[in-house]
Amino acid sequence: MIVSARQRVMPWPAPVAFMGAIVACQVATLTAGATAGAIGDAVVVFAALNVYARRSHVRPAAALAVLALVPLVMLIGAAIPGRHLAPALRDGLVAALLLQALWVTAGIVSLDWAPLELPGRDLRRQLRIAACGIPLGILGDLILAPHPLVRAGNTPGIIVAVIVLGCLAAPSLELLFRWAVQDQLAGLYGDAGLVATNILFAGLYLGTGSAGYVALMGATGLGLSLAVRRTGSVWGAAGAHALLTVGALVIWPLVL
Amino acid sequence: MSELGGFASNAAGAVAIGLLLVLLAEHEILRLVSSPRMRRARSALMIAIVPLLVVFVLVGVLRLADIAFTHP
Repeated sequence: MIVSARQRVMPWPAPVAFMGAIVACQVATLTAGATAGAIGDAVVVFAALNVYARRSHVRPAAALAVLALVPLVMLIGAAIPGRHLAPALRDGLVAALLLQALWVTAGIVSLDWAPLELPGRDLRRQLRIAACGIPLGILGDLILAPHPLVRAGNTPGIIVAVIVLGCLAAPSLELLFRWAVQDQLAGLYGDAGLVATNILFAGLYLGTGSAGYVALMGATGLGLSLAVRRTGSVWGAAGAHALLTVGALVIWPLVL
Repeated sequence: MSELGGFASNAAGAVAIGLLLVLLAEHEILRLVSSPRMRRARSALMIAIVPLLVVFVLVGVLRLADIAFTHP
């Protein structure tokens, strides 16, 4: 059977419908509880992977395999028992599992690896982008006023938290959103794809219960998305997110 | 407060394990149909199966530790 090019294009609402479902799950987690959110996440992961599996021959379907990673990371984060592990270690474990899933997904949907190449002559610009994370971390600490993730005086704990959050958790989220999700959604929807990417990104922070922090992360994400698109490298964004997270959750609550 | 997984709950672990069982069952069913398309479908399911399997092992180990080391 000959399939025309028109038939091979998935109806455009499919990725949008899945994005709406992911946001609905994020809101359900906040309003109806973690269990309702987890059930929603599980349904979305199952549906997205199955739709992708059955229509992997059409280009927009690749976005569904990538989008499935967002509810998957939320489900894994909710499923790992919190009272047995230190928050930083749990974040590190979730990030490691996310990186593994991202690696598998990148191989299946053939993501563009160019943004992951080490910056050569562009290093200074990437460092400038990364440095934005310092003031943003202070702002995040002022908005959120969190309890320090590690108590003052627990130097080994602080070092472990800085390494895990800075080198694993924050960069893994940047790879997910600024590389994989942005690559797919911007490819499908252009500038609107960047906005959609960061609506999903900001939704991850609904758990903080702070509208200001969610807005800060959404705006930061949008800025980092533009930086990644302009420079073609994800390293500066990963550095900025690492400095923001480590500052807001570990360093600044102890210092300020 | 944490960067990932701020909503941890016991029931979410059960939901994750339920999803893992469904995906494993589907993976085995697809194995019976040997076509390139089904192979692609199976590899797509592996995106979620591996991390959920790790979560399953972790939840199991921590629950066993709870049972073993909790005083009556």
